[in-house]
Amino acid sequence: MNRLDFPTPIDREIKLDPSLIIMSKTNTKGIIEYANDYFMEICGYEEYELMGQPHNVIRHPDMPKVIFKLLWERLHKGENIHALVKNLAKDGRYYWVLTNFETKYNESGEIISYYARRKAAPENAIFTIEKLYKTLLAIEKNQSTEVAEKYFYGLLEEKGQTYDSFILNVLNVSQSSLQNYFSDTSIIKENSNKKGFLKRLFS
Amino acid sequence: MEDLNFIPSDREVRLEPNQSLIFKFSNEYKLEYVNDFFTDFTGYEIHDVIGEGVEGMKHSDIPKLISSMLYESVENKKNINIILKNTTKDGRFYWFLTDFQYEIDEENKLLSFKYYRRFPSKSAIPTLEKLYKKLLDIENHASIEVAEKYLYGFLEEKNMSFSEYTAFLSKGEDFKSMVQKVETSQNLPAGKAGKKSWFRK
Repeated sequence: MNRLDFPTPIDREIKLDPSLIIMSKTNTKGIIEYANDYFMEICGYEEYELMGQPHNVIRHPDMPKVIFKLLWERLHKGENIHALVKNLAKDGRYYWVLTNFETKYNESGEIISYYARRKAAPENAIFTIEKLYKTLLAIEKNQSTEVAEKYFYGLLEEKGQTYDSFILNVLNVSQSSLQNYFSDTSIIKENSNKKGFLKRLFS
Repeated sequence: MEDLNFIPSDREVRLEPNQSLIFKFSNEYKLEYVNDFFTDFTGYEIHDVIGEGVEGMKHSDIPKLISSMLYESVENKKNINIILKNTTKDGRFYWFLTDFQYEIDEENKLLSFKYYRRFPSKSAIPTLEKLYKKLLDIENHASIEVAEKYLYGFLEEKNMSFSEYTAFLSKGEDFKSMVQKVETSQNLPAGKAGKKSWFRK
């Protein structure tokens, strides 16, 4: 299987439908096993191009490595993490998502796969996090991921926050409303059906 | 069967609701019996196929993964109701719904099995065609294992077996009655009618 060519990023955003979930399933090494229709629609790849590929084919070069380091540390422990991630589509455009993970185990309690569900990231949160990511990325480029990591934990320490409380702060939401954002798909489905119905009615 | 090198055509022949192809296989997967309608419908002579398998009639649009699911079901003596495409002798294609019935002895050993190809739901076909195309592309560009993982994730997301998904696309209940109607109208061997459960896993 050929490694996919890395697209050249362009400074144009893909706007996400806030009611839809971008879902993918990966193995413990981050190899994509399945992705839903909305995932494919947004990233612009075909299933045959993306399945069996590492998830970082859609990683945007503006993303600091330290965020993915933290993300995988949490995932290997079977913990969820809400991260704001800038992704790279096949045509070079970008889209911001907020992540949510579900870990799947086999009968012997070993992790076998992850279900990643992502939704549109709130605009005000992107504004805040972009500044931080720029700083982290610059440190990574001039120094190393380890130095960037130290800086990030120093920053959290100074603010007296954990990563989780920090991200809730950035998002300006409570833990419970964040859970609802990902779990309340019934309402979303109903709404999108209604929209479809109205669209049909007025088209 | 092996040397039938025809070029598949874009022309479709349709099974009607009251028609089905019936194959009876030995426990070594050799074809022992096929109904007369098979000859009328596919253009193959009975002597072309008796004593052989049915691999030669496979359609190239069907992913290897899907065919292997069928064999796996037979190995496990399980029924599987999925919609497949096959070729006739002159290269045309037809869609059908699979349905299996096994004859086993007291020790649960397979004696023989019947493979019915029934009228498929038209509403299910466009969606399945897209899915099969995706799987075939994944098989060709990556591997059958990657395609298998994809299908597994796809079904896991829907929390359905492939038979259930096919029934779902076929609008289940209508279809169940259709299968039973076929059974009664064709005077199948006793014990067959009413025994099938469309929704069985």
